[in-house]
Amino acid sequence: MVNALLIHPADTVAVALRDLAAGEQLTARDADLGGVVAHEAVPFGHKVAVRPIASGTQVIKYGAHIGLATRDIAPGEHVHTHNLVSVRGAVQR
Amino acid sequence: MSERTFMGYRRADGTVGVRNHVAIIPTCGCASRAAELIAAQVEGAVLLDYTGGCGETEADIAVAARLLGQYGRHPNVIGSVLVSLGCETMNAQALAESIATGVAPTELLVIQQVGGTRKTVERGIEIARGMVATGRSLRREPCPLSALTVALECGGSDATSGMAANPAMGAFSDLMVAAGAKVILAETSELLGAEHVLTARAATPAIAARLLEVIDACERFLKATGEDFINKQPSPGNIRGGITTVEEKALGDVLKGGTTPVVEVLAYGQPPSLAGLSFMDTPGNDLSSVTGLVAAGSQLVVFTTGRGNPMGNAIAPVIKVTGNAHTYQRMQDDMDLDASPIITGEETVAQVGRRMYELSLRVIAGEQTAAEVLQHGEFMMLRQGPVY
Repeated sequence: MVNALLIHPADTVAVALRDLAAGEQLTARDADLGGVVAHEAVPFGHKVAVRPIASGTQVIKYGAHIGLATRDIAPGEHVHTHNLVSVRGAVQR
Repeated sequence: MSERTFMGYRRADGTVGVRNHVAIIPTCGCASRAAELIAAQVEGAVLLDYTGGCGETEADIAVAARLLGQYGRHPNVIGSVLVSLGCETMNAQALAESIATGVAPTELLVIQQVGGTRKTVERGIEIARGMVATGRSLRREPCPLSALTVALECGGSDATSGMAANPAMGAFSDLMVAAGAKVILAETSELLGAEHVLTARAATPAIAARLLEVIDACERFLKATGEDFINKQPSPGNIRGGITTVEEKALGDVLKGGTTPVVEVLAYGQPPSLAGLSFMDTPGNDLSSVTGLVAAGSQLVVFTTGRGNPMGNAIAPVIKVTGNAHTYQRMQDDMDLDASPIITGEETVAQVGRRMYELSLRVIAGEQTAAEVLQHGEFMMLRQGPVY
């Protein structure tokens, strides 16, 4: 059952197509996500890492940079304000 | 018929129309009621609902005059009736002359000279009916897609916009560019944060520099009015919806321009001169953005929405696409294409982009959009200065 969307083949994060529970395996319609399993609950529309992302490196979505990882992120982790910051926006929340 | 042609109306100047509208054009707000009465009583006539006029800056009136002229010469317009009050700031005679340089006929009625609203409306109806009658003999013929300009717009976005409708529009944009059409991406304020993506796709360094210029000018303009746009992005609602950074938000918007190089940067309302993807400097406000995009000669607008926006345009069909299944169900009267199968995993982005392309080919050949059926004829001029 499809529950995730990899928008661009180069993306390091997929988007949850429904609320995901911890332990659910991610499946996309037109990409092989390599059996990544959600580490934690991920709400609809939120991002899940599908590859290891090193602290201080760019997170890729839409095939482009969306900001820097503030810590090492393992495949299956929720990616949001707790581990990703904007480069362009000066004020961080 | 091959994929690269469609059934359109070939005009004497070589341009191709996809509709035959008679435009009723007020040259100031004080003439807009008379113009509205004319348009309401002539089937086939549309009102360009311009309500500006005196007490505006010279720059705003100049933009309005330029755009009204471009609407009068637009390939979807087969004739126009200008309705002037007689004492407005805009030079109605000069506007009539500018429209007359095109191939469609135009007539100027001055309310203060004709003798009031009633007489002007009677005269206007007669003229407009004559123009509509002339249009009935026009026939569609095969025309190349290279004669087509498609405008891309989004409004009322939600979490599904960046997941479904906008990526599908990107695939659609790539198909249109491959077919030889001109495609225009717009909405400068929504680029703040995604500059790096568009500049990386600029066809030349000069185009990249020009993109940064219009984005910087937009940010400076907002700051001068006291708005600190970039540091309020993404909004708390965006963050709850899963958007983390301003880059991500802007990318969800800008990816509707697909993956092809940006070949030109256009001023508000400026017609593109090159096939391929251009960027037009317009506000994020949907009505004034679309009004400028159509002024530039776009015969078709494709519009993605999440929460559901019903708007159309006075002279160009607007195709409405949503990736939100609830919006599609709730607002079916206003929607043309459901991109939500991307969300349910039933279709890929490429498949929905292809459906958008096929629907567009039907619409430019005459199929009515939801906004056309409901006679959504929105028209709003960019206004940047005060009214005093």
